[in-house]
Amino acid sequence: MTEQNNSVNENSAPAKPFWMPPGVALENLSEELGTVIRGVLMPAYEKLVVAARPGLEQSTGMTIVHLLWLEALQQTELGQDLMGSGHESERLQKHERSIARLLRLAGSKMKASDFLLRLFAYRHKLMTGSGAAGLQLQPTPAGDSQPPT
Amino acid sequence: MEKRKFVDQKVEPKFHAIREFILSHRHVFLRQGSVVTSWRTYRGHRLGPFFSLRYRVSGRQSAFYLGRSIMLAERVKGLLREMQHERQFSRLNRQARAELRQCKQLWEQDLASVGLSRKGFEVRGWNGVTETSSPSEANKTSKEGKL
Repeated sequence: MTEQNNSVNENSAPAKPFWMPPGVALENLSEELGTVIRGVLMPAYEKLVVAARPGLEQSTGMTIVHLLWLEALQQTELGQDLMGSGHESERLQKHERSIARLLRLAGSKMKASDFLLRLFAYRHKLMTGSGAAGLQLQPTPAGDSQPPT
Repeated sequence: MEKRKFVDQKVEPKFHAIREFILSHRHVFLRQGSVVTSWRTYRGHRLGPFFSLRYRVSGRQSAFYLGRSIMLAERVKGLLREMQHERQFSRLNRQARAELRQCKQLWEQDLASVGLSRKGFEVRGWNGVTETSSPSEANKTSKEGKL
C-alpha cells in the first residue's frame, strides 16, 4: 500500500480533479459548494482515487466520489427549495422529491462504500494473515464452481 | 420605531414591474443580463450612479433603465443571480449524472474482471468468486468462500 501511495504521489495529481465538469471554475461556485469541495470531496478524491490501487479499488473509489459530488449538489438544491419562491404546495412537492432523491443517493453511496470496505478488509486480511502480496479476485472456472462454505 | 434613513417607497412597485418584465422574458434572462452602473457629467459635475439592466436580444443590446436607487439595483441583481444560478446548477447536475454513468460503466468492467456484477450500486455474484492470494492458489477455494 505504501509503495502504491508513493508511486501515485510521484506522478503529481492533477490540479483540478477530473470529476469536475470542464468549464466549471471552483471560484464561480457558491460558497457552500466550495466548502464541500475543499473539505469533503477533495480529501475523498485524494484518498479513494489518487491513492487507491488501480483497477477495482480505484473505480469503486471514483464511483463513491461521484456520488458524493451529486449528493453535495442535491443538498444545495434542497436548501434552495426551502428558500425558493412560488406556491407553497408546489414548493413542498418539489422539496419532497428532492429529499427522496437525496435519500436514494445516500443509499447508493452506502452500498458502494460497503463494497470498498469489504475490499479493504479482505486485503488487510491477506496482508496480515497469509503474507500475500495483495488482493486478487479471480473468477471460478465455469465448470469448477463450488458452493460457498 | 422611526426609520431615520431614507426609504424609497417607490422601490417596491418598481421592482414588481421589473420582475414582471424579467419573468416575461425568462428565456433571455436565464442565460444573460446584468445590472450596469454608469455616471454622467453635467456642467463639470459627476452625476450618478445610474443603474440599468442590460441584455441582448438577437445580438442587439438593449437596456431597461432602473433609476438611481441602489436598493432597487441590488434587488434586480439578486433576482438575476437567482435565475442564472438555477441554470448553472442544473447544468452541473446534468454533467455530474453523465459522469457518474460513465464511472459506473468503468466500475462494472472492473467488477466483471473479477467475476462480480452490479445491480444498481449493489455488488452481486460473491458466491461465484474465488479469492486467491497468489496465482498458485488460483484454483483453490478460499476458506470462507465469501469476502
